[in-house]
Order: sequence, then structure tokens, then C-alpha cells
Amino acid sequence: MVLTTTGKNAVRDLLNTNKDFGQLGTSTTAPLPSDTGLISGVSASQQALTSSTADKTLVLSYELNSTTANGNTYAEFENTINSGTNFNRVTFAGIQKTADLEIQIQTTIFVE
Amino acid sequence: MADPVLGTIRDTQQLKDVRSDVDPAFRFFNETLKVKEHSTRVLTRSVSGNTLIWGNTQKSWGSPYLWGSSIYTSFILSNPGAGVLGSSQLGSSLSTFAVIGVINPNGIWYEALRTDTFKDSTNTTATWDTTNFRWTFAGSDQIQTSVISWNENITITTATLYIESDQITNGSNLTYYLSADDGSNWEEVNLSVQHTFTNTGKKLKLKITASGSAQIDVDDSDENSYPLEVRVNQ
Repeated sequence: MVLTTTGKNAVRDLLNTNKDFGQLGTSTTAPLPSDTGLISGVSASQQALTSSTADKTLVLSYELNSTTANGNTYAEFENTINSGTNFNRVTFAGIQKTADLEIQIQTTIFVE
Repeated sequence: MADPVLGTIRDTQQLKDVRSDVDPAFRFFNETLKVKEHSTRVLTRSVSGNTLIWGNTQKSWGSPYLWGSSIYTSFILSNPGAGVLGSSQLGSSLSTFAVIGVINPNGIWYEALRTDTFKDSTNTTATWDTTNFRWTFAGSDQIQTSVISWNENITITTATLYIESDQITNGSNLTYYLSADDGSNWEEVNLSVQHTFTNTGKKLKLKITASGSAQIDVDDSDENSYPLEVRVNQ
């Protein structure tokens, strides 16, 4: 019995089909598996995720344009699936968002 | 059994001629399916200034935004290269996004060779094969990555490179290097041995040089994957 590559790609596709939105937040608290979402999410930053796929691989992409959700220093990000269920959370060095800046975040998921 | 072919629940006789060397008909096997988070790349691009920008909802019309004067992709009347209706856009084209952070789960960078996201095209001369999921070295060539770990809040002092030994062909022809300062200083490392950097920094890169033919596969012949790993500060 083996889990086939086709099966693993089907799991990838399930995630892809159910991707929802990405969102930024301002908390610098390190992520934990027990997190259920962003600690200080900014709802104005919610944007639908786009994606690309490769063998057993899903790349989720988020983009925030220059006119949206300005005036915050962003230091956390989440991808969501299934209508807003948190899928992952990551923290990074703060980004001061202004009307002169656009942000893009790419997350790679691998079905091993 | 009463009937050699069809047994019933009322059978009272035991099996005859049971052989101890015959395997049972069913066995249970375990397979593990891991959905793993690999790198998160954070990118930004500046759209500062008052130049009209094609595709930007704010800078697409009116004061204080102006037509750019030096962007070749702008539509410029009477310019033969930038005056083509239907292909030359009005206003500046957007600049490209630049990476400002690479965050890895638990401080571990994984490379499964499904994409060339981390390929430094300028400095890679060996084959970065995303079809067969391998790096192939012909000899006297090299693989070099772009930044694989970067958090402005974290100084990289140690790192460890792991590659499944069974996945390396002619490993004696390969030399491994890591740089913690964006490629300014390369320090030779040994596989699976934690390296303490002489030149610390915040931007980690990987380089592998070859002195003869060699190959590093991520997948084995059974299509199991063993992504390369670089563990930072652990």
C-alpha cells in the first residue's frame, strides 16, 4: 500500500480549492500551533488569495495595493481556508504601510 | 470446515493442514502524509512619486499625478518604440517586487525543487531541474540560492545543512558553503554539522560547488520526497 503522488496532489488541490483570504496584523508575538488567527488582525487588509501549483506543491499569494489598509505597521500574516479558518500564521520584521507601498506575501505548502 | 469452499457460521471443525510458514492474508501498513509549511516570502515595492502608474487605482488619473518622462513602457506619441497602440501602456509600468523577508517555520528552510523560487540565476551554472526535482552538476559548476532566510530582527550565528545521504550521487565532488551576510563571505560547511559563522548577518544563502559530475535528488525512485534542509540558529 502506498500513498500515491496523485493522492498527494489531490490533497494539495483540496487546500487550493478551499483557500480563502490572507490578512495582515500588527502583533509581533511569535506564532504557536495553538493560534487560531491573528492576534491583532486588521480586517481592512483582507484580500482574496491567489495560487499556483506544482507537483505536491501549493503556493498561496497575497497582495495588498497601495491605497488599502494604510497607517499600520504590519508584523504578522495569516492565510485562511474554509471561509476564514486560520491555516497558518507567520511573524516578520514590521512593515510601515503607506500609500507609496504595496505588499506581496507568498507561502509555499508541500504535501510530503 | 463442513464445506471446503463455503464455510458457515455453524462450522465446528478447525482448519486442517494449517501451515505455519504461510503469511496471513492481510497486513496493516502505515503511511504518513505530511502537509508541511515551507517558506513565506515577504515582498514590497515602492510606488512613491507622482508619476501616473498603469494598473494603480490611485495613480491612474489627475492631479497631482503626471505623465512620466523617461519610462520606455509609457505610451509616448511619435516614439516608434513606445507609441504602439494596443501594446504600449499609458503611464509608468509598475516596478517589480523586492524580497524584504524570508520566514521559515521553526527556523528551517526546505527546498523540494518544485520551483526555482530560490534560484540565483546569475550565479547558478549547474542544472536546477524542477521536472525531475534534482540538481545536476556536470563538473566545475555550482548551485547558488537567493536569500533563504531573512528576518531583520534576527542575527544568524549558526546554521546546519541537511541532505539525505542516499540522495547524493558522487558526493565527494561537492563542496558546501553557507553565507550569513548575503553572499559577502562564504564559509565552508559539512553536512549535518552545525556551523558557527565567523561572519554573522541576517541574510542566509547556500552555495554548492562541484569539482566533477554529481547529482542531488530530492525524490527517490519510489517518489518519496526528502527536501533539503537548512536549520538556522539551532
